[in-house]
Amino acid sequence: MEVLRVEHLSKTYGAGENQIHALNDVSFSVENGQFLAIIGPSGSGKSTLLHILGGVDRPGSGKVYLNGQDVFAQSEDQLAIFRRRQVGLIYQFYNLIPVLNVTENITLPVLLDGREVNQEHLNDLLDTLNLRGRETHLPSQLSGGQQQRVSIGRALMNAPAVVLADEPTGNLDSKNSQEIIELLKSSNRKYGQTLIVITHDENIALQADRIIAIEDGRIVRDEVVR
Amino acid sequence: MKLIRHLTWQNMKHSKVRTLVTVLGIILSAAMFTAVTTMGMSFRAYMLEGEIAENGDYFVCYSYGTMDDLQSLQQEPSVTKLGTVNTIGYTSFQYETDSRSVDDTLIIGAGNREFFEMVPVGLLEGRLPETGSELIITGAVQDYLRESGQPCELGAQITLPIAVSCETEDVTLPVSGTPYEKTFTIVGISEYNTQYFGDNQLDLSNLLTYDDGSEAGIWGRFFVKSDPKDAYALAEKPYGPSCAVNQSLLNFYGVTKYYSINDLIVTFAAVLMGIIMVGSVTLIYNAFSISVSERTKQFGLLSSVGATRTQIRQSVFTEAVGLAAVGIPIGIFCGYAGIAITLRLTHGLIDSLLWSAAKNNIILHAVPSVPAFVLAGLVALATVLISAWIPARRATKITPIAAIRQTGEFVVPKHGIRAGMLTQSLFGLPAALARKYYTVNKRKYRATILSLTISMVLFVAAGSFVQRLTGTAEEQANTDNFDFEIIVNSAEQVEQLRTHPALGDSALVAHGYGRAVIPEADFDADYRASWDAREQTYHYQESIMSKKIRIEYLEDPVLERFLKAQGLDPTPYLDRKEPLALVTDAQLTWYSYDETGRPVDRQRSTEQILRDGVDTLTLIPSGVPDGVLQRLERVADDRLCMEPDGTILLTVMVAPSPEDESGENLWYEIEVRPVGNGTDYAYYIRDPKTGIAEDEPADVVSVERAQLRLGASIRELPIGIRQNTNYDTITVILPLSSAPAESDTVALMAAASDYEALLAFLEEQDFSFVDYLESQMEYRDYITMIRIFSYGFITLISLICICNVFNTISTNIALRRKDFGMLRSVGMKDREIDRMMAFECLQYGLKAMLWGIPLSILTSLLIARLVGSSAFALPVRSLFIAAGFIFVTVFITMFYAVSKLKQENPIEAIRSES
Repeated sequence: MEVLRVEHLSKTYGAGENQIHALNDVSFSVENGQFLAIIGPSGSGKSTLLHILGGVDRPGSGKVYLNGQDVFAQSEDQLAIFRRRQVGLIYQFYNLIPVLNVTENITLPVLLDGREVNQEHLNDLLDTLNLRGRETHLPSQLSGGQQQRVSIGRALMNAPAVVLADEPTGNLDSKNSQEIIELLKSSNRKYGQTLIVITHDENIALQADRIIAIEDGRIVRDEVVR
Repeated sequence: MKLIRHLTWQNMKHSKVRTLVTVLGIILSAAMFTAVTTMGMSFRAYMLEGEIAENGDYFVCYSYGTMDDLQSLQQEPSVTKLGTVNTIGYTSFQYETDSRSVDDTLIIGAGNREFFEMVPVGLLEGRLPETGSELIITGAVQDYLRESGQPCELGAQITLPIAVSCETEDVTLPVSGTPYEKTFTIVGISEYNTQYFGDNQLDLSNLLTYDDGSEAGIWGRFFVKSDPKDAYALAEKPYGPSCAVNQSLLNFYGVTKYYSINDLIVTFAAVLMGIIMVGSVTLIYNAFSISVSERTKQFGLLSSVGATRTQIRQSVFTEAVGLAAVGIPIGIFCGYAGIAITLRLTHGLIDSLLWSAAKNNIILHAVPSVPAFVLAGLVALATVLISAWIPARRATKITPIAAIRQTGEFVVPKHGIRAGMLTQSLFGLPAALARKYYTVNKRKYRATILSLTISMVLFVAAGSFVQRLTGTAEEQANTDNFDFEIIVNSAEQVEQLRTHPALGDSALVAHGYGRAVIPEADFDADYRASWDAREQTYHYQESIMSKKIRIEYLEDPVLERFLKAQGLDPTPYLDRKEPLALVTDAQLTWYSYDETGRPVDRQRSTEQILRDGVDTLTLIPSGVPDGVLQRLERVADDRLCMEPDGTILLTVMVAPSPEDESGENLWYEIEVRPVGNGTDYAYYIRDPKTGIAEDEPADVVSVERAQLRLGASIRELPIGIRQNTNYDTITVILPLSSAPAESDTVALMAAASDYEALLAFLEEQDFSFVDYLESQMEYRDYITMIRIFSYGFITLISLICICNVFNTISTNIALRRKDFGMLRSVGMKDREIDRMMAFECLQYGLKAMLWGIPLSILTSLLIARLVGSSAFALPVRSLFIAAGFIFVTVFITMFYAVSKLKQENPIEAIRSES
């Protein structure tokens, strides 16, 4: 079943002679539960694509459908709720709220929703993420790897339909990197979430179900690997 | 929303300095507002107390009212308080001593309780009377009693013969009852010249007792208090033949006859509040704006995780309200307490500066005003909310990712960042960098420049405002160059006075009077134009041609010195027989009225009256001669003018006789012709029907001086000469030696080098004098108060401006921590960083000047217009000071902020998150 469909997505930055086509008429769709890796050289538009899919950036033209719903036809408020519940975005540079502790950062989407935190789910996550005992620590008191795990926890907390990760292991050593990918994969298998990961690490790309390569804002290769 | 509140609170704790600065801004704002209003209220209360102590607590005073009038008045619904002093009889002192002979009649007035509460009687010793047998006497009466061998100390009993009728030259007072004697106990001694002890029309003084109904009143003075708005209406009612309105007290309640003055006060207050509000708003807005832009990234994060705009705005508002809840009450308290403490501490200083305070023992203390506090709170709250809303909106406008990346501020211009090429070649790379930063980060820099510009405009506006305030107050004050007019009877007295250390400059002056009818062509063109422009509105009775001539005979040596100082040859002016007369310019106040006859404007101008080249003034007798009065009887009005052929005409109005009920006023023309060599004038009455003059004159009158030879016109005055402020008078100066022997008494016009000492000396030595300074003291008090207030105000505004600039710039620098780290890590020397900073300072400063100077001038103009003053002077000094301020503050702030950054390791700066 199709969970995500992208149609003729384009985005340009700048104007006149400085214009950059970050995305140039990109179209594809993703099945439910698929693990998709997006690869490509830097500046190819990968991050832009991910941000648009996550609803934190707007396309210049084109449409994105999530579970059949036109994402950008929504109002701002609906879009915000969409970001809360439907997608989970993991950034390369963690982007945690510096004044909130680990627990608060992880449960942020739920709290924004005004709902009760499912303590069992939270504890489960904390165990899986190996963050037990650090619940009340602030980001500044954590190492890079720990911060990344917190941001993953945040993305997973609300059990979104799609998890989007932008170079999640870019700043980590190889041991940490593999741990993170295992985590994401198990979440993908356990909860049946669709996982889209941007990476330029071949090892990681080869672990995905499908690889899409982007260059100069266009899809140049789309392979289902398994 | 629990999360929002938690998040907000955490943020505030995390960036303590930022939070503190914002709260400080709110406190400062609320405090300033409160301080200014409290100051204003306190001043007002103080001056009100002073005014009441000096002139009494009433709005309307009816004089010479009958007891029937009083009864009617007591029924008047709009009266809230009624003080009466009823004349119960008259007594007189007639006796002779070695040095003088006394023949003085006094009124015995009985005042009711309200009278003694409302009207100051200038009690020096003792107490107020409580029964009809107790009496307050003046110092003069004490002398009478002593000299005529009667007891005169406090507690003494005296018996006075009381008559119940009294006839003077002008007025016959009502009669009732028969003369009798009454015994009084002296319970109080009061001042010599208290207003209510004098009766100008009757030229009698008062003895005061208490109105316990034991004696019947014959006529009285009624002092009325009411709702201030009803005062003028009440004054129109016939509760007494004569009525006066206490305008000086009404001013405090905002009720003035001159609309323009009321408007003026309101305008001043509005301008003042406006300036304060702009200051407050920029301060608080700045604080919030910076706080929000710092947290833009965080807002972007929250947004990307799914926070709605509302939730983000809630965060900002929660912070705003939270800070306001803390800052505003503290601010109000500090503002009020600050003033209260300042006044306590400077109590001695201020009260010694202000004459009416010292005299009447009034203290300037802080007056809390709940409406003012509430207003201050509301204004501050409104400011906080508005200041929070705008940046909050800004934060939610951009896409979340742009917020996270914080590239939103960077707008790449179409043609790339070519700026700075010229600068680089001229001043080197650091300068070029400064230019580039500016070009690219326009929005942020604009905010800073705006802040600087507003600071500058505020400062200059405050300066202009203060200047206008002082100017208006000073306009009220007179500018005589002497303080006392002392009657002198002998050369020894003059010597005695002139050798007294408390006497400053002085001049002997005698006065002479005359009349002149001057052809229109002899007047200065500007003066004529002014006259014509105002004539229809001012309703002058007399034509421009008819002028009173006031001759001031000035002591010769003083006149000589003055003439030399003016660059004039003194010889012709000091000629004994035919001296040249100096003509003084007139200082005139013109009122203009609107269509409904309401006064709307008042202007002062100094005018030269006569045209250059007019060198003689012919003097004619004043008034209507006895011969004419006898012929025509019941002359009620008279006017002078000149006919085209040069004939001087005296026009008199004759009232109809009492028996002629339907009679109208008749007008008679009388020709005034010179006789002989101009020393006498004959009055020929014209037949009202034919217009031909009679053959025989009704009277012939001599003049003191036939002609005046006129010399120069002067604007500056020598000491001892009063400013001519009457439109119908021309003042000329002649040497004292040329004064006729029978002329008026000679007075010594003197300035006091030590007012208190001289005053005491004059009273002690029993001189007869007029204290001009006393009436000026009130205005000088106003001016002193206004000066104190002004300096305080400007200081506050300066503080705010400095805070503003400091806040903005130091934050801007702090935000570029990473940049600095990077520059240093790449090898930029500290000195080069300094160069870059200096260049930025220059940019800020110059851009701020570019906007600030024209805006400041515009604002000054606006204030001058609002205040209704036509005189506008460029606020050059303020501009200079403001510009200097800006540059100095910017430089100091920048270098201070940068110095902190230069101390840390480059890598720490690069890595830093916030």
